[in-house]
Amino acid sequence: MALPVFRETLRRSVASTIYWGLAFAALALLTVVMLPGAEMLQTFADFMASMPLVVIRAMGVGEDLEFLATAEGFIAVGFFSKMLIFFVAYPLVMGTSISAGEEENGSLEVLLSLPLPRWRVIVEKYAAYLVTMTAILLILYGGILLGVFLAGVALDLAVIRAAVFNLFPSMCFIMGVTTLVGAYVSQARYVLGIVATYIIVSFLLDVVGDMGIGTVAENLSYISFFRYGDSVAVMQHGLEWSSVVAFLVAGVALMLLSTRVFDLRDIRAD
Amino acid sequence: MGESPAIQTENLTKIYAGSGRLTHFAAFRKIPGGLIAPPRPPVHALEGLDLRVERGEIFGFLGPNGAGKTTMIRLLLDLIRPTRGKAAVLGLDAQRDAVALHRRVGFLPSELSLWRNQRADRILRYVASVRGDVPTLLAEANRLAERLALDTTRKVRTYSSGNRRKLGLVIAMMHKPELLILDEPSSGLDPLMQQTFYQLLREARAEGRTVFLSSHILSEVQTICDRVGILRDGILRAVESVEALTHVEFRRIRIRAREEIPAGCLENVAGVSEVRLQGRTAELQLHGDFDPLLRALSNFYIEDVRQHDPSLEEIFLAYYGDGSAVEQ
Repeated sequence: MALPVFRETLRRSVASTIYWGLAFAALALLTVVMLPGAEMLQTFADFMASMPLVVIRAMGVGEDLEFLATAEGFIAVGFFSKMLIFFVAYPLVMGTSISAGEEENGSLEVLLSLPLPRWRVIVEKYAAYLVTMTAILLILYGGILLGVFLAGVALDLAVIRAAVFNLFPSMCFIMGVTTLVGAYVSQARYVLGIVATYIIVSFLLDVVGDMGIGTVAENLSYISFFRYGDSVAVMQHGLEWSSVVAFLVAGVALMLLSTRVFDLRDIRAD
Repeated sequence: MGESPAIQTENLTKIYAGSGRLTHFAAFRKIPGGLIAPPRPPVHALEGLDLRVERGEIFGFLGPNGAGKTTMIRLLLDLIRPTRGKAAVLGLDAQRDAVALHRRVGFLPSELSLWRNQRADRILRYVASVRGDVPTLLAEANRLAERLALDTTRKVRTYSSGNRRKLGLVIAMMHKPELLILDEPSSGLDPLMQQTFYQLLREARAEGRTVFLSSHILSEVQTICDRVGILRDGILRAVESVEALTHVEFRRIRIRAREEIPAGCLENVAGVSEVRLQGRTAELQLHGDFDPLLRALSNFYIEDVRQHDPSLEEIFLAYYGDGSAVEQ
């Protein structure tokens, strides 16, 4: 049977994919349903305009404050801005399970005693989780559509679609990072700890960097992956294709590198 | 050219690095007094192992926990890589040809962990799908499950350790492998199931297949194995047929005299060792002829002399010297 690990991973992920998707969709639905009217939006934009620039930037809003007076702008700030830190939790958890999780619970030993090269375990599982991530983002988008339907608001769905799609490359990249760390480190708790630290540091660098214009903090923020996955900027200016491609290529490259790392080391040697 | 052996190793050595990798953070451990202990030193798990297992035999790998049995098995399956030396299995290089080899080998690990939230039949289907011919493999798996009285419609987490072991055996045997590698296979099986399991192994041998099993249960090895290798501290101490081992040149002797046998009267008697005196009774180990012993006891009225050949356990203890490490 072709791609047995890919198929089995998909089969086992059905329930968790639905749960994750519904959780994100519920969050999006609530944001859309609670969308204020036009007057309130303008008041919100005016209020934001009165704030110091560092606060405005810390919220992930660019120079275009008029954008905040739109429904898309409110959703951008209320839902997509900085929410990436929650979305990347999924690839973090799934990336950990690709090798380290199975290795820690011992099932990898049985799997690798079958006629299956190690690289295929990683590639097939990674591919399966790309499919489940796509499914989660589709469910999320469905939540937004349901919110639009229930609340009767007019939203530029092309802008929303771009923002949702923009989450995918970042998630792909984080899953690549997690897969690589998991291929090197055999204990899942270390993998979670290392990658979660990287995500949180990236997040803080991005927030602090946004606040500190022209400072060392701003320069440091360039090493944060959040800087390149900014859905608010995408909603304002459209997709940044160079970032999209860079994240996707980096994610796949890290996954391929992890197959090499995984192939070279002992399994459950501790 | 003759058929290649089932297993052949040359100078197979495995030394686990003590520290230096991220996974060895745990090596820097706290010790009483709040101090941090230094990293663990390298562990010589297996040292220069040369072994040849012929096709069609049941070979027992005997040794206490930590002797290196599991390390040897993991090297054969390319789960870990040797520090030195090489291993060939069924004529294939264990490392280079691992995937081709795994098609022909069945493996049961000592600490079997399967996907706890999955039903056993789903796991069997998954394994069959990786191995290829799903209907044939599932038919054989069902036949084995029936013989082992295993209900495959339940989730693994609901299984007892014995049932998990049975599932592991089904996974290892469902494709009728040319070589079965079993690490402590019968632990957790009840005596009745152990008999069924032994029968399955004998059937495999009758079909010309090879079984390589590690165990620290001496009676198990004595019951089913053709040959046995004794491993201690990562070094192969002996390889013998079970028959030869149980016909070694020493015997256990129990003598009962009419009067008390004084301490020292059996000292320095040729071939006599391990003497235990208890009043009128002496128990000892005798190498070689009876004559020196009989001469030493010529002044006593001997009521009874009993001899029994040493069990594999006693031979095992003799190889180990200090039997404290042996688990029963």
